[in-house]
Amino acid sequence: MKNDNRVLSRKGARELTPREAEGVTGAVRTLTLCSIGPKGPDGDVSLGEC
Amino acid sequence: MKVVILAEENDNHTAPLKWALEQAGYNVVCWAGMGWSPEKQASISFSDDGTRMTLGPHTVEPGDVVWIRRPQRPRSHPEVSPADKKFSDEEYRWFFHAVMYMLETLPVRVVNRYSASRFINNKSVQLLFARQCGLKVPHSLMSNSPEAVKEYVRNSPSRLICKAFFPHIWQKPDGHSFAVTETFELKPDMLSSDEVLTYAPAIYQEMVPKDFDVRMVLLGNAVYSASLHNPKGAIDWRQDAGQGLVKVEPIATPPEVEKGILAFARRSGIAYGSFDFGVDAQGQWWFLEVNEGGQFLWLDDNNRSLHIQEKFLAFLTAPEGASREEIERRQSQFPTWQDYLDSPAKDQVPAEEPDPEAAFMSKEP
Repeated sequence: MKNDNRVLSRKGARELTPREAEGVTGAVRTLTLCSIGPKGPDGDVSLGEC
Repeated sequence: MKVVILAEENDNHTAPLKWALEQAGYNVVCWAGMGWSPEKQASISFSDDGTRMTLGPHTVEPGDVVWIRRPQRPRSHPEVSPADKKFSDEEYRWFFHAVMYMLETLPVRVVNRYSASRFINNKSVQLLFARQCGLKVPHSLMSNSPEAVKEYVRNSPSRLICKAFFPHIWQKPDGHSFAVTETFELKPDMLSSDEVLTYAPAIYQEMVPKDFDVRMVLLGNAVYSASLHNPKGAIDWRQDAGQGLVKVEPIATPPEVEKGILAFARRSGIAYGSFDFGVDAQGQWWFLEVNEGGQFLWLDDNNRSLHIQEKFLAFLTAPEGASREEIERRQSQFPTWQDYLDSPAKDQVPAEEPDPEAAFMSKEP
C-alpha cells in the first residue's frame, strides 16, 4: 500500500496489542475502557466514549 | 417513575447499571435505538389528549428518567428495495432525530439532553466554553489549511500534539491487527508535504507538560476527580489504562476548577460528562476535552474506593439539580461495582456485537 498519502492521524496511530484488539472485535464486554460505539456516517448517533 | 436507558441491554455500562438499579428497586427498561424490528420501532402521537411517545414496547411517561447512554444508529429494513434504500435510511435518520429532540419537550428528565450532547460534542465549542468559564486551555488550532498549520507550527514556542476529532480504527490486511487514533506528538518530518495536511482536518495543540492526567466526572452539581498516573508517561493514557497500567486515585478538585466546570455545565446544558485534564508541575489543571457520554465504570474497576457507580445512579434517580450532599446521601442505596462483579448477573450478559458497518473503522488493503 502506498504510504505517502496517508492521513497524519494514521501516521500517529497506535498499534494495538492482541488484548486491546479483542475490544475492537467485540470480545470485551463490561470493562471496555474506550469502546467506541456504533456511529452513523454523519456522526449522528455516537455520543462518544472514554 | 421508571428509568429508560437508550442502549442495548448488554452495553458495557447499561448491563451493570441496570442490574444495580433493579437491585435498588427501580423499574428499568432499555431501548437499543431505532430500527425496523418491533423492539426498535417507535411512535410519537399528537392529539388533543397530549403527546405520547413509545419506544419499542415502552411508553415514555411523565416523571420518567431517560438516560441517553448509547443508542444504536438507525437501521432501515434490509429488505427494502435498493432503489429506496437511501430514502429509507434518511427517513429513519430524520425520525430518530425527531424522537431524540422530542424527548426534551416531554415531562421527563433526560440525561443528557440530546441537543446539549450534540452541541458540546464539538471540540471547538468545548475549548471556547472552557476558556470562557475560566479554565486553562492550551493554545490550539483546528485546520485543514497547510498555510495555517505551518504558521502555527512555526510560531509555537512549545512542542505540539496532534489529535483527531473522533476516534478511528484501522484494520490491517491480516484482519487481526489494528491501529487506533491516539494523541501523538507532531514531529517536523510529519509535515513533509502540504498536501498531507489536507487529507484530513486535525486538532493541533501545544503539548501540556503533564505530571499526570485527571479524569473528572460531572454529576449535575457535583464533580468527582481521579488522578491517572501512567508509569510509561504516554501522551495519551487510554490504551495503557485499558491494560491496567494506569494508577487511579481520588484527587480533590481545586475550587476554581470546580467553579469553571459547573459554569461550563450550565453554559453547555450537560448534566453529565467525563472531563480530561492534564496537570502540570505547578499543579495547574489544563482542560483537554469533555466526553458528554464518557464511560466511568473503569474508574471503579481500577480503584474500588471511588464508588462512581453508586454516585452516578444516585444522581440519575435524584430530582434534577440535586446537590453533592444529596447524591452522597442517596448513593448507599445502590450496590457497588464489586457487588456486580460478585453477582451471577455479570456472567449472564451476552457479548456485544461489533457493528460491521461502523463508520469508525476502516480496512486497509
